[in-house]
Amino acid sequence: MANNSFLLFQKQNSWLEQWDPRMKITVSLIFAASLLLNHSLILKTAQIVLLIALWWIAKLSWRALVFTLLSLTIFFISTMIYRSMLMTNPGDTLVHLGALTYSEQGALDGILMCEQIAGIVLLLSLVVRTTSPIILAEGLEMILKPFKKLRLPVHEMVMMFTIALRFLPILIEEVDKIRKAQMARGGGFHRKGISSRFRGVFPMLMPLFVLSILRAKELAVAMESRCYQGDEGRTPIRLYQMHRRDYSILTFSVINLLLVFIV
Amino acid sequence: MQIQLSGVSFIYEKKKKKKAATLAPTVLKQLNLTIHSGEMLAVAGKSGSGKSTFLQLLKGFLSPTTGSVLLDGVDPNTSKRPELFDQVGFIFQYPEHQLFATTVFDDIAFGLQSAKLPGEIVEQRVRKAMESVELDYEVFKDRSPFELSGGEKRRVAIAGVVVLEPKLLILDEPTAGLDLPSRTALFELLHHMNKNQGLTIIWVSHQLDEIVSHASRLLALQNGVFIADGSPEAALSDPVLLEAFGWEEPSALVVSRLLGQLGLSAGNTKLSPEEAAAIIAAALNQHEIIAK
Amino acid sequence: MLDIRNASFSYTDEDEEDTQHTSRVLHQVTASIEANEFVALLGRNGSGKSSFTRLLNGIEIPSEGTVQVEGKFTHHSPSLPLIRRAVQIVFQNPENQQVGMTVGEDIAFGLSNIGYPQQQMQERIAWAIDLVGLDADVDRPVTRLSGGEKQKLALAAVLALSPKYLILDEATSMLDPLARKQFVATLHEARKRHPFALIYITHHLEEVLEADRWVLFRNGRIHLDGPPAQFLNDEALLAECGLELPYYHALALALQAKGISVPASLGIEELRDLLCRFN
Repeated sequence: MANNSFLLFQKQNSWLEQWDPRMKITVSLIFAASLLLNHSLILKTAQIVLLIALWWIAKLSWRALVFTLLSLTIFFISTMIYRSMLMTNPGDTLVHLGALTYSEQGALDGILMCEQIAGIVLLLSLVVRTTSPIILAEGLEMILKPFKKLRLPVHEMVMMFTIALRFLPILIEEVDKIRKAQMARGGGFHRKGISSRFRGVFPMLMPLFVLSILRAKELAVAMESRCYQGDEGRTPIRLYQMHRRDYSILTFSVINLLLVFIV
Repeated sequence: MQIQLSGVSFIYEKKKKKKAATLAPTVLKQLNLTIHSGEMLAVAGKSGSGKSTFLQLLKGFLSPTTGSVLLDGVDPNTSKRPELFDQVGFIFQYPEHQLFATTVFDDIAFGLQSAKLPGEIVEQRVRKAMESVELDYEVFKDRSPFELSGGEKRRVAIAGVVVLEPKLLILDEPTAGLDLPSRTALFELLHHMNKNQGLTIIWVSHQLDEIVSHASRLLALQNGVFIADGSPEAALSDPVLLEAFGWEEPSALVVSRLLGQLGLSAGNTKLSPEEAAAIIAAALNQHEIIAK
Repeated sequence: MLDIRNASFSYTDEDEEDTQHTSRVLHQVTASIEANEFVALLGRNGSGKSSFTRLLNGIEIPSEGTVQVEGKFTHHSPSLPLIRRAVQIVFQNPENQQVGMTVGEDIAFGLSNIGYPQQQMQERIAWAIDLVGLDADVDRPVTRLSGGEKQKLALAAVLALSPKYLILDEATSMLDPLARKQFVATLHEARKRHPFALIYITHHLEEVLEADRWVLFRNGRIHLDGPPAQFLNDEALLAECGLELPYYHALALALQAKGISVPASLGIEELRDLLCRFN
């Protein structure tokens, strides 16, 4: 069963969806900075809690939250091992627990690091899940406008990003279909050992590759037919206006950043 | 192969129900069905009717929530013998999208080679499969599947499933995207395999004329239950079914019924325009002779 | 008017599909399509009808000959924005022509491309949704639409740009009979309210019986161009080009061949009358 709403924006009419996209991006960057810069366990934990609260305010599903965090398990485990066991500094208090030896300072560092990873990922998925890709793209484009003067293909990059998001669920579904189709004619390779399963990788990738190119070509023709000609003469889809709400969020996130330096 | 469904229900777990966006959540309710060896069975149903779920159950891609699917009397799910599902060939919509190898031979041989069969058997079976889809072995075996025409590609893809010598072949809208001559050729091929190799064939179709011309039996699914199961002629003359699907009765059946009502033909079989014209002409001539 | 003069075209890009396309070349095609005309393009897969439509909005430029849209040449690139706006296409696969995530965003994509005033955009989107009778609000994700609804959305999105010519490139071929019937009805209803020329590619003759003209493509050339009546009695030619006469037309022809005079527009009622005269 294709599972295609995990990375997808779905309209929930939540408060977060009303934020101006430019402000949402700016605020996220400031928040990310404060996540990365602070070394206080309490403050970092508070920030994670805040993100989870926002998740709730955004009316996103708890399942998706759990899935997002669980998908990071491997990073969490490796970070913890690395920080607490392998990268111990001289002078750390070493704790012996049976055959294991770990450093308390290292474990603390590890937790901070894990919170950091979790925080960034949650932040990113919050942004993507509460903003329609087109709106996000227009927001990004407006923020990056100054770079256009440097002849950077801002519009094109942003458009590519939008289309990638739009086609992700379709591709996920396609993978599922191709997988089943190759299983159906694969002489049972999927039930056998690793090497046999490995043989099944190319027959999956190749059709996916060919199909993606085919889709891309068709989409390009369709977009051009619909008068797309880059950012020349385009009008934005929505009228973007900053409200008091957006400024208060900005103020809040700046305070959040300043806190890092005070604590 | 005989397939038996008894009391088959299928419910997507709740968690999945919410997520499924395009593959609409479908539920099957208490299906009982026997498909006999050698049938040409058409399956109709709108998206979300459960027809895709139904077909995936037959191939073992999904397992029923309750009830059992028996292949020749054995339930592969409960007897832990998933390899029994290998007897079922499954051809997805636009199967040419699954081609991957550099030559037609390698593409068709994929399954046999994964099963580590000896080279000469592989060659022999690929040759046979290509013959059965009417692709000349010598001409096509070394060509790239990507440079073939649409109809040829599709036949290569079908050969890739047929080569595993399934006893049941399931096809999801096999004629989608083909033009009429390619459609006709494809059905000739399916009939041929059905007759000569005794292959049971189940296919999904939206085309009424295709169903009337080629199916020995029609299954219509709606909201997870069969709302029709029987001869296509009977089913497609049934106003209730036609209404439910928003279909129009095929003209061939309307004309046949009219001629039947007038006592000119048996009335329950589909007549081609030529056959109908011959009957009408004969009737009119007879009247003229009597009138004279 | 669309005016195509001696246009030839072949794909020259050297990608992996090149070999497939070499057969889809157009040779010396000449045709014209008047405002508000309904023209059906017929022919087998690969006969050149799709390539032909790509010339009409300047997506492809003929290697020889010219294409003119309302007096503007497609090889004159400054004219292209106006040409594209006048000639819109609905493609076969809705998934590969929709850019927006939601109904509203997708319609807005085209409007935004032509620089439609932002203040009136929502109004225009609502107008287009209403025009095709799409039963979905602007915020509905595109992935939650059925096949028929997706294609209606595609129609709404192009009609929002008020095209003078609308090309349907097998737009109904992925739909089931009911959805196809609804789509065709919607199309003609919309055309009544806001007339535009219709250029319709299909393999189903019953969808184009009302067309002003049929244009039959064969091996990259226009084989025959004329009113449907000119084709309907040539069953052999149609069969050769992968087309099947609707049942009643075939029956009428078969009866005429047997010396029984029946109108070409035979229906079940006429047939009943014919037979009951004697019974």
